[in-house]
Amino acid sequence: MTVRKEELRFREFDRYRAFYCGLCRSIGQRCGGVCRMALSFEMTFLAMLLTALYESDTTQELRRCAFHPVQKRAMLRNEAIDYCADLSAIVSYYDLRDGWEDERRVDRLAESELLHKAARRAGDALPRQREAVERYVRELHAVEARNDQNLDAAANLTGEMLAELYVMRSDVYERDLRELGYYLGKFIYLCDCYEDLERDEKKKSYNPLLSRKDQPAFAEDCEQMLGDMMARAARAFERLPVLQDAEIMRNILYSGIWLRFENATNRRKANRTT
Amino acid sequence: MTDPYQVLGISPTASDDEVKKAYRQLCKKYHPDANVGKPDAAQAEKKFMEVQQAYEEIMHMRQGGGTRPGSGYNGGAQQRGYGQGGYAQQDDPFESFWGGYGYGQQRQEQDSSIEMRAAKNYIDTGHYAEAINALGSVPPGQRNARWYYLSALAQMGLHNNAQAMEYARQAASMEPGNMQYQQLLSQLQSGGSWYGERGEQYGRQQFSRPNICCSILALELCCMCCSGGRMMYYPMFCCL
Repeated sequence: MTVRKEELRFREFDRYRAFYCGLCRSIGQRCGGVCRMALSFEMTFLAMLLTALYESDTTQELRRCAFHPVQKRAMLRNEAIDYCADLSAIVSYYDLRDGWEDERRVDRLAESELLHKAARRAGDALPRQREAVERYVRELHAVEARNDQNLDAAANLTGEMLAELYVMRSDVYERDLRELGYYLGKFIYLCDCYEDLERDEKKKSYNPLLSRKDQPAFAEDCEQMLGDMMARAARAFERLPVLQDAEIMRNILYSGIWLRFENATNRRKANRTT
Repeated sequence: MTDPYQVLGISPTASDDEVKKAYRQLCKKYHPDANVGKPDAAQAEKKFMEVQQAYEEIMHMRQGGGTRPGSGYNGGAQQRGYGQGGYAQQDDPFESFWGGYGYGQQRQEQDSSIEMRAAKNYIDTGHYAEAINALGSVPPGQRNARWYYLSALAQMGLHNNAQAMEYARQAASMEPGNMQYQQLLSQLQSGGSWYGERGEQYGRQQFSRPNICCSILALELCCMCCSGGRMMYYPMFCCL
């Protein structure tokens, strides 16, 4: 879930990067250095969305960091970015622990231990969101265990979780934020499935698209199904009174979010011809 | 009924961004926090609510052609009950549109089994999970186009839009001559085409463009949706 860079103006890209770097810094400060692995484009989008929606007071500083030691980078900071930093800690903690419990990967266990304290603090501050993530992990296991072939079974769970995370506070925007988060979550899950087909087939992991991948118009059908998700998400976005940075977010919602789908499709096409 | 545009002090021809700008300005002005301790605080709060209502009304009018706010996906009120969104408010959102196109006659002919009739009844009354159960008891060998069509409706009711689209596609390909099935598929694909066009402005190249509304009859039916308006909450750009 990222921007299509060539379609952005320079200052728009700088702004996007300032959110990304600001989120990274906030995660580092609030959750400790290790958490930065959790930094994701999804959270950057949410930080930008909530900042625009609530027009949060935002500070900007220019700093060097361990990842970019030469040139100073602009970093933004506000309540929405801090909220997303906390969410990142919670989500990645449960994700890592799941990796340990699922596959007994010791590296995941070690990382999750490092994250434990930060995730507990963030989870205590955001109990509703923590509960949503816990429920997601639990129910996703159930769907995988019964090898549910309904396309929406697992995707709905991701959608419901993200719907919960998109609500920073209870107010008039809650309904549209939920709807946006819900369909974005479904898109993200199914797009992952589309991208990971080969890997999941090899590892025999659960993937609802596997049983469909040999259908004649598979790529087209997937594009259409994912397009429906995004159309619904985009409509919810357009209902929100968002003005600030709206064009950057539209770049992501209407275009950038498809980059991974396009890469996977092109890769398969190339493999087929060679 | 006050005109929502008047409440926001803008013209009905204002762009979406102008609507949002006006809304934000008035929100700031009348926000309870900004009026604490002032003599007309109660007045301001009332106005604040009006502004929010007007904004919501305008946005829904512009998106759905008269769709009432509160329909569609609504996970807020119920924890898990996504199925009780927009569809449960109507008996059968689909039948009201396709009734004139031989629906009744087909139903009697096709829903011969108890399971299929039960499923149809459940869908009509908004009991989508029960409908899926009933459909699930039809043996795989007996699943005809009608079965896929009803399954698509039931899945849609539970916000399972991916599965609904797959079933609708199946129904349409099993009976290409059935307008009702073609129409459902067009409906489900119409949102994607609006979205896809918008994406081209931001540099997206679609691999496949959905070819909807290709027949005159389909176009006619789409136009009915504009006036009926309630069904998929999609603006039918193909009609413009």
